[in-house]
Amino acid sequence: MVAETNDVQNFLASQALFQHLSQENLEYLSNNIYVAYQKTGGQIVPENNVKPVGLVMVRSGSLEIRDAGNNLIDRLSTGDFFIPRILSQAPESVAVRVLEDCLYYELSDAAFQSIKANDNDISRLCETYSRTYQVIPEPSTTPAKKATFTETYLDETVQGYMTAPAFCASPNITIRRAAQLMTNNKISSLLITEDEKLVGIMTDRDLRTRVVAQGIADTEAVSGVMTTTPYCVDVKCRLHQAQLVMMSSGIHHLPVVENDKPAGMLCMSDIMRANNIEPLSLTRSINNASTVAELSGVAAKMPDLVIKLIERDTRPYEVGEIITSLSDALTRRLIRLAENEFGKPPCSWAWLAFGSQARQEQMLGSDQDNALIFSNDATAEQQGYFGKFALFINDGLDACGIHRCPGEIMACNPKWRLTLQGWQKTFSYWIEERSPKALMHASIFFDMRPVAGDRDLVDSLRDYVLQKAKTNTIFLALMTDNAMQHSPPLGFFKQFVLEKDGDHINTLDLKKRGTISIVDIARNYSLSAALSEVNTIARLQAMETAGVMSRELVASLIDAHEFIADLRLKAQGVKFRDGDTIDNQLDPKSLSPLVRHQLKEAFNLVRQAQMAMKARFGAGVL
Amino acid sequence: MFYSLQYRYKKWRLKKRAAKTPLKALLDTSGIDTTQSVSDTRFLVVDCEMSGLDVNSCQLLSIGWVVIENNRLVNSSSRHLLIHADRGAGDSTRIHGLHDASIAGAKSAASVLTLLIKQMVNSVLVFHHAPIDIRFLQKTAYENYRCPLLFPYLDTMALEKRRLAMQGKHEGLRLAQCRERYGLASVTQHNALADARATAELLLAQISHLGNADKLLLGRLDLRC
Repeated sequence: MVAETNDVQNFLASQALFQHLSQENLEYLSNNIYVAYQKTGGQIVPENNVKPVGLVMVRSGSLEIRDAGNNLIDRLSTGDFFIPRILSQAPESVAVRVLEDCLYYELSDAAFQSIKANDNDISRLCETYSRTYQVIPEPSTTPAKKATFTETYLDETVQGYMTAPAFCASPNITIRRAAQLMTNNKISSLLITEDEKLVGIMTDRDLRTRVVAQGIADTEAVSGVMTTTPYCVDVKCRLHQAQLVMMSSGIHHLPVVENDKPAGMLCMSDIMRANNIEPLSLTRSINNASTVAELSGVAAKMPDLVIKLIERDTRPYEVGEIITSLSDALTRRLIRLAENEFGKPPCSWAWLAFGSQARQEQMLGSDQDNALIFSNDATAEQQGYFGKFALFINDGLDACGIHRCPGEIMACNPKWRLTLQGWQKTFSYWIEERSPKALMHASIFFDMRPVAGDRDLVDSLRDYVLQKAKTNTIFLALMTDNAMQHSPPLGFFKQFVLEKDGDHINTLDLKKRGTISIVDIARNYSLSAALSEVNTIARLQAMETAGVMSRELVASLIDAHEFIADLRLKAQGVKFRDGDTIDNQLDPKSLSPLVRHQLKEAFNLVRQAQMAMKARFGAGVL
Repeated sequence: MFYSLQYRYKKWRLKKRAAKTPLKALLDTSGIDTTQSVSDTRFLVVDCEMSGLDVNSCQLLSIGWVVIENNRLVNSSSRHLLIHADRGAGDSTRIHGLHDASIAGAKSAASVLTLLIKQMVNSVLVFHHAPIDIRFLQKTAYENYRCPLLFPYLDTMALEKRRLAMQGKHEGLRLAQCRERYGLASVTQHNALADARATAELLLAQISHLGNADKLLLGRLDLRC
């Protein structure tokens, strides 16, 4: 017999599902393939009475899958597959009809199960596949994938890195005793507890700034100089979240509690140890910068940091959080510099971030979307102060590489410096006006988050907006229509629809047609249920808790979001390294067939979620 | 029973001569009946490559085959066997791509035929344009066993010709042309196995267009012997 790879094996090797398999596995599959043919109009009932069929793959021709109500569920062409077992378990009976004379391969169930059990990629694909048919997958028996670097660092809880047990003392001891305790135990912070409950923290810095510098006698009780009700995190908190708490509140010692009892102490140095992480040192440089020029010098290092994060396989939402926390730090620092320049603001105010910065999903190349809000009693004169103030900050951010918003949605634009009442009026107008411009604004402004200043102002505004939007079904319907304009780029037979013109010919826009769609879906549902979350993942999770979206769909959307965002991020990383302009375009040809297949599945899911949204809110227009 | 009187006579006549050869296995054909369904029939789809078309001066170079069971092509049954040739492959290498060097390590015609006969038991053979392939197989059998092969077979080309005639059409009957009418992709590689597989897929398509294989009777397929 002649040793040769036959046609079937070559075909399998070129398919998304199998192309990563070894020659040996491909041969095994190929030996368990049965070829069948069905003419146009026929039905495929893969219940082979002799051997159960694990998977059916189309070789030529096309099929369609319809449910009992004759609704089209899926169309399959060359290389597409279906899993008979999942179809037969679907809540509604489905039929597979031949659209065009079809030659198809049946893989025996035994072979399919064995390859699924041994290959993570295939088992994962089958899980996403079963979700589209709303079948809860059987518990996977595959061994857990080996943890990558990112998982070892970012998925680690603080428990493994904190100093335990925590050194605790009563609030009644003297300052001198506290200092002695710290010296003897070689620690730089001391937890103050009462009845085993954390009531305060005393650090080296407190001794310096609140005791020595103030000339307070060391015989006084510690309770007078300690930081009361300090920030703290639970032992189950993940390291990167703890890091964010430390970065955003500017502290270096974070008490860790378990059931409200102190369990340990997490220091900045512990996090450094966990990962000589650059965001921290970058934040520190930002906080130490005293001129805009210095700041922009620090900000110039951001892309390199992002590249490093990407190379470490950091999850996209974590990268988004880190970039956002850096732009927040930049903004806060610029505000501080502005205060030095123009004096303290004369009234109660807050700096608002919109869009991706508000959602904590900033990427490289995101531009500014910000505004100012004042308390209702701010006089025109007081408001006048903020003109220069805002311009200083907007220009400063621009110098730091966070470019000015082309739509002038920036605090330096007097249109976007309003009192709480003014903002409430503006939002009411958008919600009730129903003009395209109002809807465009709505999609940017409804994602808002305070970066600096008086948070209460923003909270009251948000509550007002949520109540207003929740009850306005017409507004929700229009937002839904608006969101439907960004449709996933899949055409008939699940082929990618590529951009037709411009610089981006033959590429996919992963933002406009991928992540934005999911962001829109999350926003609309959150508005309808008055959920105050802003981050897309947090919104989706809150939607599940609030019961406005099914658990399966939420899980699938989160997966899809992460998958698309990850591709987008990696593509941006490559572009940055090659010195190209950073955009959201991706050439599908640069993807491996398996990734391409997964991307199609993700887009398909987004489309289904859009349909569900349309069904839910679309009726408001009638 | 579909076997004609002529077939039974041939079988009776051969019985003695074939008794001591591997051909004996073929004389028991109780597994095949015109009233059985196509699904229940085992088909052995065969394609031969020869050094030329003249049976007297040319010889078999390779045989490829694949089995259809349950109306499904059994992928693991694919075989491609090269036959050792006394004379070089000559001009036909340009068509088949079989070079003298690769044929040199091949099996003898007799051993390949023995393997084929094992597969032929209780099966209906399938060819695309049967006469030439059969002529060469019979010649090889006669040279080795002094006895011809006896088997039921069908010809996808003849099936297609009959179908087209019933539709009043006259179209090309070459394998690629027939496949195209059923939406089957053209085969890029040409060797005995690839062509046997292509023929098998064509048969599956033809069966599908004739009706449900579970109910379709074997007799409907224009069986010959």
